[in-house]
Parts: sequence; structure tokens; C-alpha cells
Amino acid sequence: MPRWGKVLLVTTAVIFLFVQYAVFVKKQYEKEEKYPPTWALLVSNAIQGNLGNGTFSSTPNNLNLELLEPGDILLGGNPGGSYGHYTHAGIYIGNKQVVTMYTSTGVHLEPPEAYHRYHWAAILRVKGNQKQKKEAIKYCSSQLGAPFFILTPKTENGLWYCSKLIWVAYLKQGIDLDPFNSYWVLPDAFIHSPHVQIIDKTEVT
Amino acid sequence: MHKHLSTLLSMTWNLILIHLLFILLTPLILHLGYFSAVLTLCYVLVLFIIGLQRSHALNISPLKVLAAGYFSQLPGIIPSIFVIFKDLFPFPVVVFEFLVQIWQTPFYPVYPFLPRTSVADIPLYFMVNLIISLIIPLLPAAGAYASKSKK
Repeated sequence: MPRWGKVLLVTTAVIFLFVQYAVFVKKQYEKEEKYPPTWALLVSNAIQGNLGNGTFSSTPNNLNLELLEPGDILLGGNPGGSYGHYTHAGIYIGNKQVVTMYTSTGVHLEPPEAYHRYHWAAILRVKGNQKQKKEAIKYCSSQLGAPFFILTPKTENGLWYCSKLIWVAYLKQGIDLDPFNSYWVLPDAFIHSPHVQIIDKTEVT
Repeated sequence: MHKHLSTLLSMTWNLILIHLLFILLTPLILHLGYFSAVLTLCYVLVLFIIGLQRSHALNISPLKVLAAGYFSQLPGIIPSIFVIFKDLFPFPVVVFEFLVQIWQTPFYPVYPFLPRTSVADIPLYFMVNLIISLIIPLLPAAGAYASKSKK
């Protein structure tokens, strides 16, 4: 067998074993009803073909947007999402506007009604004072037009994904919304944070 | 003919490996914040130098280096085509947007320095993402041209 063939074979075997290990770790955590490590979640979802935001619902969910207050976090998720139960997050800044972002849009504004298209959605209220929320909103708004990049670490480097911006904005106010302290702060992390209160949660049945 | 194909493939493979290396390095260097833009500049310089040196070592023309460059950037060009012409396809192109994003990883450290504006309703940074695979091959080709000019 040529040398490149041996290298390819060994690399394939290593990747295969790593993926199997990730699936095993995820199942073990789920058996114990614990949230799995981010790397295991991402790898095992990817191998099942779950990439991106999953399949949106054809029926709107009934998330009660009347309950929104500035500073609240909106979460949305679908079956087949690649990084947990909730795969998208935005921050409500008032005036029927949410700061959020996608791969091809960068940081931008969308209406809260956009979260009605998810199979499951939630509104979280951060346990902070009005000044903290106002400053978090101000920070998120200052990043409008900034680029989206899924592989960026949590460092402030001008590159964002949806949950990183919200996490940094509140971290600057002394509130760490990531209870898992992972490389990526996934939208799922927020609903597990002790610093939020679930205001509304819904699922399309 | 076989020798020409072999040198073209060798150059293409070199360029792909360098690009993959910088895809792996960039998320690590991004921990340095805005300073990580230096890595992108290093990538540009490496491409120029690889064109300069390899064209001399393999004795291939700047045009062949350019061709190798475009072959090496096919993983960025093909998904970009799907995204740009998304209205022609009966399926969502979200996966191709993701692939373009990953392939252009080496350039992301400089995107925060771009103006936060849009071109044809597409954010400037994403527009750059879509077209930069057409520009990257010019760098090693420029190096190859410089190598030939020195002789």
C-alpha cells in the first residue's frame, strides 16, 4: 500500500473512533439527565446529519411576544438542529426589534415574530438591573453590521455568532450566562443559566 | 504531458495544504483578538512566497500556477456559485453558506476592519467571502511571475 494510502487509512480510523466516542459520551450524559459536553454534542449531531438550524415549523408556535421586555433573550430551535435543543438566540432591544445574526447577514435587526417559525421557542429574562440590561442592549446594538463567524472563540475580536454577542454583552455587566464555561457558548447554555428566569416556553405539537 | 500534469497537481496540492493549515491555525490565533489579523497577512505572504519558490523548483509558468491556484480554491468557488445563484436552485443554500464561511476562515480576522456596509443587500464581509476564492490564486501567480521576472 502506498504511503499516502496508509496515512489516509489511519486518519479515517482515528476520525471514526473519535466520532464513536463522541456519540458514546453524549448518550452517557443523556442517561444521567445531564447536559453533554459541547464537543460531544456537536460531533454526534453532525454525524447524524443534523447541520444548521434544522427544519423550521410550517405552523407558527405560540410564543407570547407581549411578555417581552428590553434585555430579554429569545431562543429558537428545531428538530435536526446541530448544536442542541435551541440553535438560535437574539436579544430584544425594544421597539419590536431583536439583535441577532446569521451566516450571510452578519449582526442585524429582525422582528420578534421571526421566532414564531421555530418548533420550540423561549423567552428568558436575565436577572439583572435595568442599568445592566440597558448597557447590554447598547453593546449589542453597537455591533450592528459586524461579521458572523461560527468558529470564533469567546474573545472580543469583532467576530460574532448569535449567542456569543449576548454572552459578551452581559458578561461586561458582570453576568456570566454560560454555566458550562465551554469554548462556544451555545444558545442552549442560556436556558441552563442560573442568571435567567424562563418567562415563556412553547413547542409546536 | 504527464510531467506537466504532475507539476500542476503538485502545485495544487501544496496550495490546498497551506490553505487547510491556515484554516486550522486561525481559530487558535483568534484568541489574540484584533491582533489575529496578522495571521491573514502571513497567509497572503506565504501564498506569494510559495508561488515564487515552487514555480522555480517545479519550473512551471505563472499561468500554470494561476491554474493550480484556481483548482485549489474549488472548495470555495463551488459553494459560492450556489450561494450567488441561490434563486436558480429548488433547495436552500444554507449548507453552502456554511461551507463558504469555513473555507474562507483564514480571512475572517480582517473582516472586522471592513466597513459595515452592504453591497446589493449582501454584507460587505460576506460579499468578500463569496468572491475572494477568485482573487486568492492571483497571489501565488504574482509570486511565480516575480520569480520568472528575476531571471
